[in-house]
Amino acid sequence: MLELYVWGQAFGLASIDPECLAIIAYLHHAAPKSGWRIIPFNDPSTSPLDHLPALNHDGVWTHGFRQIVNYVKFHSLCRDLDENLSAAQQADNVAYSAHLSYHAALLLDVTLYLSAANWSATTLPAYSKFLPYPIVWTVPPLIRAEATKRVEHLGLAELDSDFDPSSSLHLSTGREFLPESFRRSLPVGTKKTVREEMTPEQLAAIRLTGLTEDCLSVFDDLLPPSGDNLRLFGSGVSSLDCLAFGYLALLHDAPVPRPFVKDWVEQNRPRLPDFVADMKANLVDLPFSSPERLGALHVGARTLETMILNGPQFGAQLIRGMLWTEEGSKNIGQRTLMFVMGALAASATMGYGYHYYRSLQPFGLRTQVWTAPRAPSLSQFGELGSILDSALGPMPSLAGGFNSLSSQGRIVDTDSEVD
Amino acid sequence: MPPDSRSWVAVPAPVRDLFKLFPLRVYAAEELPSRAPHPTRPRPSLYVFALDGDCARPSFNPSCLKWQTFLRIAGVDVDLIPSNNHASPSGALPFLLPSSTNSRSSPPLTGGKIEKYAQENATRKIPTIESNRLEAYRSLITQSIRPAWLYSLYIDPSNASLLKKLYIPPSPLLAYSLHHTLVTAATTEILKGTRTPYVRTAQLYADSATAFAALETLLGNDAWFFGASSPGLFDAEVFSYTWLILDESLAWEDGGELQKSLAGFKTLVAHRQRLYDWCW
Repeated sequence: MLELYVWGQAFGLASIDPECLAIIAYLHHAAPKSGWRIIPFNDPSTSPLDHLPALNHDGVWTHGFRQIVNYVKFHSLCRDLDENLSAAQQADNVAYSAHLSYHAALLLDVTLYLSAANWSATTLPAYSKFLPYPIVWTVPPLIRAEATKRVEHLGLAELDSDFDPSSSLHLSTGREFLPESFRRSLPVGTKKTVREEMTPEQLAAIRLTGLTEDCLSVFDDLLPPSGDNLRLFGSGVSSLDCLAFGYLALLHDAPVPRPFVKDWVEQNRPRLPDFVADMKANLVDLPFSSPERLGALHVGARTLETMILNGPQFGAQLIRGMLWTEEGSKNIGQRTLMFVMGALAASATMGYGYHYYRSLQPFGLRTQVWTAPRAPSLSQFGELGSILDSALGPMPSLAGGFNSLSSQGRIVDTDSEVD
Repeated sequence: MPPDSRSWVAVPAPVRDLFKLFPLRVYAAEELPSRAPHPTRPRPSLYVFALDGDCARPSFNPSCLKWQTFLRIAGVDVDLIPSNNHASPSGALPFLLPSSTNSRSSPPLTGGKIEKYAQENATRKIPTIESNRLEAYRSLITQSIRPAWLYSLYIDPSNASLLKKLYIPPSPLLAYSLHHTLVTAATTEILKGTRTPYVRTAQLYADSATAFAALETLLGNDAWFFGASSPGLFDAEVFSYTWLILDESLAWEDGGELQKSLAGFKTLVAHRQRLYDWCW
């Protein structure tokens, strides 16, 4: 029995992740229904490599679309969908798959994750439907942050309205909540210029179109120009069809409020939506099993971990240090050791500094030093005093007691007020 | 009464006296440092990573080597100048300063602009390839071969001495932190491509082997990619990796995975030698 662990369903598709969707389509076409089942999982950290889709075949884990396809092919666990391809088509298959996982993945990152409007209206609600309670607050921002980082080099940061000056708090927003007298003294909200009226997607339209065109026109040209046969390599379903479906379906079917990819595709490449619809129509009656319940302890640990990752660079660095250096296992790497040593040294220095600071005088206070009279005797009162002194002998007076406490030291008055 | 005393910016007398004591003087402009590019160049200069005194040879950086090769293919004669990222206006090498006869400064060219420049100034014919497969196979290089290259040079500890020789200045003060920065940057770059939380070495090398096999199939029995009559940009791009991976003047560790795997693809190795003979 092949157990396929995938991200949960969204937008009427079997999974929210393109590779998960692709491998579901692949196994649907390649394996008999009784031979495999889909487990919507939603927490990649439990699988050994922290990545979905993951295939568990009698305890052997495989991750990622291409790797799973190679694994089932190598062990003859199901039909090989690529067996009828010629050598040149096999090579093309590899190249176009790379094209998808590079360009289409970036396009998907921009559409579903970077664009703030699409993220908040579509992607985030989709995640919140299947993620369990506390991680639903911590995991999606991480996924988005990673996607944002991946598309950084495209220079489309303005799609994230956090950076959009027109969406920031403006004097004209919320005027109605202010009292009438205040409102009159505020400047009247200026009329918006055309530029301000446009959404960030419209402003970046030329670049977005270029990006979309670079990515998708390649596949449209691969489809036969007419006819009912909507397969990229002409004959039957190949693994490339499945992968292309995974990406294109999410790009096309996600009900986003700023559907620039969908608009472009429907205007320029109407064959692609047909391809997606055709593949989707075939993808029925999937062997879904009930989603794995995560234990409370596990959810708690995951919440804590993701909270740290969400935090500032400090904690994230610590955990990433563990993740990066190792091949699969999560033991503490050299980086982490260095980091911990550094953190210890830094905290020791800071602790010493704090201690030293506490022993200093508060700034700005006057230090008052006074010395008690050295010899408390009556001789200071002139001759009469010395007579009395010799008559009474040394007297243990109040002053004497005080003197013995602080004859050498100094009393520092820290509470004196300087005004 | 001096005429300027009535103007509203009248300078108070003491200040005026002070400035008279220290009269303003404009010195003649300093000479530019001798390494700075001359405003007039008979030949364009390409700034690349190269070992000192080794300018005629292929650069050791794939991206530099790609453009160096392409300019040679196009027959554009350039001066190679060993440099580093700090010299580049975009922060990345290579960049090209076109030849100029007047002292008006021309902007440095990078990436696709070098291609345009080479095509405009080509003395040999460059084949134009109109194929969508070209885009797909270029993605294959970026997505499958580049990560394996990055891993084997920057992260694999057995190639640390090579990395040190190529990219890290000899000063021990800088070496450690620079090495660390390079490793981190390479890791981030690889993870961006693979979209996994881990770097999986075996997977990277397996992917690169698959990519080499696909390229070999694409080349088939042709001399150049896409059946062209002479080499083009894509040939240069493949060459920039195949040349360096099997370059014996770079002290790769013995029996490195990437070297072993590429050496098995005889057609690609032959293409590598063919393009080298064509250009050098």
